[in-house]
Amino acid sequence: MAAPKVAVVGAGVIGLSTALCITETCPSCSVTVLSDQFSPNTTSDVAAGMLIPHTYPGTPIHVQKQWFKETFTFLFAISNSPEASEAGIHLVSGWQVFKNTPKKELPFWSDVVLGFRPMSEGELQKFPEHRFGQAFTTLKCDCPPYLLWLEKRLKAAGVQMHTRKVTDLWDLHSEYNVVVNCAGIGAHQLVGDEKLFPVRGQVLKVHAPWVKNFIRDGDGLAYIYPGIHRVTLGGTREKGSWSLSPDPGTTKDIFDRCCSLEPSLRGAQDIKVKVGLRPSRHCVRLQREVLSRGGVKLLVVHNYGHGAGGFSVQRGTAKEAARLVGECIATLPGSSSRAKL
Amino acid sequence: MRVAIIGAGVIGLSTALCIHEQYHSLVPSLEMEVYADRYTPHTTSDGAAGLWQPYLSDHSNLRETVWNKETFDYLLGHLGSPAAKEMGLFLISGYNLFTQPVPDPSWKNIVLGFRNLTPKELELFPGYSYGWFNTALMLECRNYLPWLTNRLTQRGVKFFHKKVESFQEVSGDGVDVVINCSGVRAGELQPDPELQPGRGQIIKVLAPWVKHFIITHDIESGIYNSPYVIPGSEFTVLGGIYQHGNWNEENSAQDHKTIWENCCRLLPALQKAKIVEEWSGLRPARPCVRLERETVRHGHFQAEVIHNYGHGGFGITIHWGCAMAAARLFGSILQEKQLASPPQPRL
Repeated sequence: MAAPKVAVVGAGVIGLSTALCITETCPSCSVTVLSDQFSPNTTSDVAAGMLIPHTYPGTPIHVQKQWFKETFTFLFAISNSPEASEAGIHLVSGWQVFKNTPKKELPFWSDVVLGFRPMSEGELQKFPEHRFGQAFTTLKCDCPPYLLWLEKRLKAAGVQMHTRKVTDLWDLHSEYNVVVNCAGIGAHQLVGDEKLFPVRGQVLKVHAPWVKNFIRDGDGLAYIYPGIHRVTLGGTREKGSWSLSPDPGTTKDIFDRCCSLEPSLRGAQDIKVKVGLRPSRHCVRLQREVLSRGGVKLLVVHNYGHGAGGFSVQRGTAKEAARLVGECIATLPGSSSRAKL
Repeated sequence: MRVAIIGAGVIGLSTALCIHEQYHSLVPSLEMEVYADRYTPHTTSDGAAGLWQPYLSDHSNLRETVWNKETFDYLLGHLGSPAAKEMGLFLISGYNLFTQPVPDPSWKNIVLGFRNLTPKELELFPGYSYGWFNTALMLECRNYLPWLTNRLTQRGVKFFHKKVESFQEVSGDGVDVVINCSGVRAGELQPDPELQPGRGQIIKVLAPWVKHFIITHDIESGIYNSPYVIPGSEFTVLGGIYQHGNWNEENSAQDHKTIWENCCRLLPALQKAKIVEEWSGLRPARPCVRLERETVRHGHFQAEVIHNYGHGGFGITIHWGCAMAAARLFGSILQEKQLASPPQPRL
């Protein structure tokens, strides 16, 4: 058969990672990324890109751990290569601090990140309002550089990228054999998923280059993530809010909370405010679907709903999505590659 | 009472400030002057990356171990203050790497979160089989020296751009106490065969994705003769040169090659870093810091001299402890001259 044509809808971290995995598992496929937004205007661009997993209540922990491990290993290798600076991937160490000792002192990912251990007394003294903490080293994917680097790799692999707002997956059925839905929060409209809801996050991106360590409050509402050029200060987790407009009161609250964790941030300059809607779901929707309409079939693979954890599981879920794409292709008429995938 | 400080690097300026803070209210007549032929950004201190880290072993210099700790604690106390940014002071974490297991350093409990490296972390550094991770402090002199200068200027301390050729030059002029913080060129004021230059060269690059310091150690080559990478607030310093007895302050192309190749091998991500500047400096190396009083006589004149030099590659690391020790010596001079009530309690 002719090279299978795969469309990936969405150009955030999930769309681009998934497209990349598809080129790796199906070199004969023709892959096209379609999105109404590309970096620097995706939800991923607002995120700090820290590899600290979010726990999905609806997915078995061992699966989440596998996804994180694959992602961490993949990015770790790039961070230690000459491409690291272009890819925007770097190691960063720091602390997660808790006002009250958490029920679970050891998160499932503690042996995937580097050097995980409880904070010492001396370290905790820096955080007088907090009683317990964890120190570790993890990775950060700075956006836009990371997304732009993924786009560059995709182009080198022959992937086409088009700015196009897809409002109905069926619009693609005549041009493509398989459609991969990585539309993130856009899936709410695109496929009418009522289980997908936004969790609004407002962040400040500031110039404070002396901040070299990350600090995160275990409650998730105060975090300081130093990137290549800017430090991301956050945040909010407003369930169900669709507003993309920055709120000035929230800006002040975030700034105050972060300065309380790291007083030197009072000297931060050039504060930029951004808002993103985490595409949240009980569990990531990572599954095949065969849509039918008037005797015509549309093969779809869904890979969306990563909420606050997109960066942390990008590679693991992308690989699974690519595997599902392979399964779809194997069902296509004239496909001889059944056994290979 | 006139006090002259010779030298305006980190040692000279911090000693001046420490003494002025402690004694200006006790000695209303205190007049302080700084003499130096080089001021920031042209001092040896300005070339240092600014990382607080003592040498691996203290060679039984217990005084120095205490001074290092006093400096760390003093700086740590200033971390949360509004002055920290202006001082160029911030926390930084990082790695010390070895090719074989080594005993823990004397400063393991001074820094924060000291631990050994895990096998996975060591994968990052092929060729190194053992190491430490800890969080320490950075004190960038390009900010700290101007900050000290501002504090001193506010206090009415005067600065003179002048190379002092002898103690007599200042004592003959009516100065009562001379604080000798002349660093590597102290031998020009008074011969000291134990003081030698420990020449270093560094390359400053733009590599803001590097968030950790990485110091490698080669027991055979000796301290600072093995590559190191230290990220500052704007630039990252690449180094790894220590040449004992070499007075040459010119940059060497060979040393550049050594630093660049070794650091890029250590951290491949550096290959794309843009080189901004190259610099050479002379660490004032000595078997131990010279921190003591001396009465210097010349004809009719005599002056009390407090020596505070020979801090090698750990001047920033030890500076405040030494400044306080020099201030104590100053206090004893005042007592003898009966100019002050009994010495202040140790701060």
